[in-house]
Amino acid sequence: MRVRAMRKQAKPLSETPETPPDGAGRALHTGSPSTPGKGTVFSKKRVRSARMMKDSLFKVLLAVISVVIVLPFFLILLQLASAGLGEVLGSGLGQGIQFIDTNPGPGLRGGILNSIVGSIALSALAGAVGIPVSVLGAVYINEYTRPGRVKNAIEFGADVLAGIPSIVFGAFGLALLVGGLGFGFGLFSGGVTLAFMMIPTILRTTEEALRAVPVSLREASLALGATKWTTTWKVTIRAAFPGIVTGVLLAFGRVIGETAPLLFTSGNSLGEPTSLFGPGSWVAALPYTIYLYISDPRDYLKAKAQGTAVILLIIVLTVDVIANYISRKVTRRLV
Amino acid sequence: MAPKEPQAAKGSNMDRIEGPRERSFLERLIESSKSVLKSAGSLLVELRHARGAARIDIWGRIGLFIPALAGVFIITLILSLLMYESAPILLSPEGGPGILVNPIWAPNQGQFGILVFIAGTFMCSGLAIVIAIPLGVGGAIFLSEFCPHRVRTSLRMVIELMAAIPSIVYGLWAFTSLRFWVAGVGESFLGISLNGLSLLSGSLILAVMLVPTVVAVSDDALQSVPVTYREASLALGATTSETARKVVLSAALPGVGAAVVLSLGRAVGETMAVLMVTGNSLQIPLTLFDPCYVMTSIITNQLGTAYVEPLWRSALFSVALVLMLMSTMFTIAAKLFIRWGMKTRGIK
Amino acid sequence: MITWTNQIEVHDLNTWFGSKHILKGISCYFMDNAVTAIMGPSGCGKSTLLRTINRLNDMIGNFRMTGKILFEGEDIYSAEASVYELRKRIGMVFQRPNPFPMSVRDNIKYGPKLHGVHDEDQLDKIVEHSLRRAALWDEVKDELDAPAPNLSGGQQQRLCIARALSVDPPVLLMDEPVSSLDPISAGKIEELIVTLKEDYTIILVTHNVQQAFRVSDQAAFLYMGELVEFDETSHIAEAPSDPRTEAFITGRIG
Repeated sequence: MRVRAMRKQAKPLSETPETPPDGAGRALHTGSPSTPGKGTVFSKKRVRSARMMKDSLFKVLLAVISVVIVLPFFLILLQLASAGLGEVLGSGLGQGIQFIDTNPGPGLRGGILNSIVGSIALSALAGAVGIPVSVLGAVYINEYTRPGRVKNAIEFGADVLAGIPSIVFGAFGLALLVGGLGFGFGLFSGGVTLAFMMIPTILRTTEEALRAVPVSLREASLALGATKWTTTWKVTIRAAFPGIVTGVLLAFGRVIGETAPLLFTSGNSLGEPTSLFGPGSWVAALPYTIYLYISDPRDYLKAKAQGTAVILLIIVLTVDVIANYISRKVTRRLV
Repeated sequence: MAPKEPQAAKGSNMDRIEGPRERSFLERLIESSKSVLKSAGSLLVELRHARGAARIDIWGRIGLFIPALAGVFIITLILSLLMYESAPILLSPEGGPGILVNPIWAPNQGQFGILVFIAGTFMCSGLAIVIAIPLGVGGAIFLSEFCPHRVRTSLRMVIELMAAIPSIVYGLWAFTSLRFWVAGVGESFLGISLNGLSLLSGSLILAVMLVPTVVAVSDDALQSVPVTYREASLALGATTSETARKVVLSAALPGVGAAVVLSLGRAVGETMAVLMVTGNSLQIPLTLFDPCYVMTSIITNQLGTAYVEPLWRSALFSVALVLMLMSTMFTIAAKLFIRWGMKTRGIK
Repeated sequence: MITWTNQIEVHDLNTWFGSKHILKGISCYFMDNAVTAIMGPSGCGKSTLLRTINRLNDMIGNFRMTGKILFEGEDIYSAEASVYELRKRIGMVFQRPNPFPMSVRDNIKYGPKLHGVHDEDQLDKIVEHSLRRAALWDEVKDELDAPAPNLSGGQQQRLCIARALSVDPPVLLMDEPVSSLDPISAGKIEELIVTLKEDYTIILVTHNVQQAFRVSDQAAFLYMGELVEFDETSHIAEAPSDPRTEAFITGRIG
């Protein structure tokens, strides 16, 4: 490495001209002036300035906030572990299995099988109705519409639907399904009401999954002579499939935990549902059962509510963890 | 011979050159319907001529169109049904639109004032938002800008799990723990014995439930701000916290703001958790430790018994209608906010 | 009394990202009120050198350095140094224009506000002055409140230059400022750089040899992290002393 000895006298900074005319020369100075021969900014006595204090304070405040935010999570888990797990596993795994495996008996003592089966049945029906509608709808919106008024209207509809309170769905289900169309309380009314709630969620997640599929995949298929229909089903949806499944699972997770829509539509039962309509279709659900037990003055039922909550939480969190796992595996594939 | 261009006579209103006319709403509606019919028509023509795979293509397109409308269809259905069910009370002499400002709810005496519930919802949600937004946005900024990488993944996972917990479980915890702490605080302030079922308990559990979504959405918005903005800010001599506040947060404001507005919508519509800890009293609360009654709770508590009483039931449906209109309003407000935010930032 | 002859001096600088040794024993200086070009093929460490000067590499977790960089005679990595003051006095323009998603006016006000200027009149004067210096004033003066990203690429980059100038730094670091622009905008900015050097010390990173020859007074050729040659531009252009330099400027490597 060679350096030509080119030393030129530095222009002392104090020679900076004053307010320059029309943009020539250096700007109005905004900070500390300097004199040649003296370090300006790095003087040894530089102390933590006010700005640096503000910086540290801000970060500490945010860290505290973050702790406060997650605190309830652990408090809830703690309480459920102590009160709820005790109820479920009081005398060991055997009692735990019994809790899941038997229906409530006299005085509502016993297990919660009715609620578990009921929740599964309701979610299954909700999915059977809701998934086709939303997935197919999302396919149409994403693949067949151009950005424009129709697309905006449809997406607006889905967004509004997503924001509607769950109790409004419950009242709606009561008025339309139970009363108006005469389906009565039970599995069908409850399931379809839940389906209405699932639709906007699955619509949005499916749309996102489809959008994430690169355009070049579709183009490659069309370039080979396939029709749009074939392309959509054999290429696009296949590529988006994990994303769609994730969305569906997340929607299930939400719907299993919903209480309000079921209060006026599903009836309640101490056993499993035996039919789709009529009195045999009255069905219990985990969140509804929790609500009933905790509202009951009998103390052992309050304890049972905690136990039921443990089961519900386990189911919901498992579904969500699976959904997240699938979605994480996807991101690696398409990239 | 008449001149080709219209001569502006003195005082006439042809002073300016006519550009494209502002079309009225009706005209635009007619135009849209015309273009929709045209495309439907051309679709049918295609259908006639197409064979084989192309035919399946077109049928498929028509077939998919129907579920796509599901969202709009359901909303229209809900809206119509709610309006239908609310009509009796809103049109009856005993109620009318005045129920919105009538503070007395006593269905057995023909009083159907729903003001108590509207006020209750406003106060409870309002307080919840005031608590949840600073915490949520602050947590998101920490997560996005300052959190060490390994902590970030775990923290984010906890937040998402919190968002997944059903509201009944939050309600259960609030009923068995949170409200007793609130009672304790209240007792030391007011010196009387409390059970903790209050406005404050409701707002607190609501805030706890809102924060995770606010954090997650805001974090996503902050993460999507390009790194180069942060670099430019640092290169000008800003600290990392100044950069986070003045550049990153400002750039992400459309997303963050939308999260805020949407969580307001969620707060208003939350049912189970709030139901269990607000005390459900028919007075408008005067202090934080007074019980309150929110719109979602009155429907939950009384719709079952009210179903057979036409006016009572109608009044409750009118509450549901108000709820639906409010949540729709918030959704629209969120979208408008995003549009405004992106325009002023020049983001496409 | 300390005298120094050049504002920025680099003494035996070595940098690592983790275990990757990026810059190897760099020693050079940057002449005042002149344009020094740092040129070399992609990936040879030019940007790293630039970012080490304004300590932007501090943000990268596994960055390590040995050696000294002196600014106005003081070690910028010493414990007493304030990185915020350093960056106020050494400005940077990036390869891709990155105006903040705010109005043009707010973009320029950002820097001065950070450093204590709050008087609105003074801020407005700074806005006008910076935009004039960056040869952008006439084009945006009627739309100072329009969002900056709505400007064209060349205008955005000039805005970034104006923004860097808003805090009046004696030194300007420019990391390939025109490589993402069309030739006409690039040309305008090159002219701008030549006029700016009367009042600022400019360090310009470029992979474009012709640009270095057009614009700079002094040039450093970096190859694989080593400073191969460092001389007046005219000398390098006419008679490079190192065969690697010659290979680069004739286009055989790059």
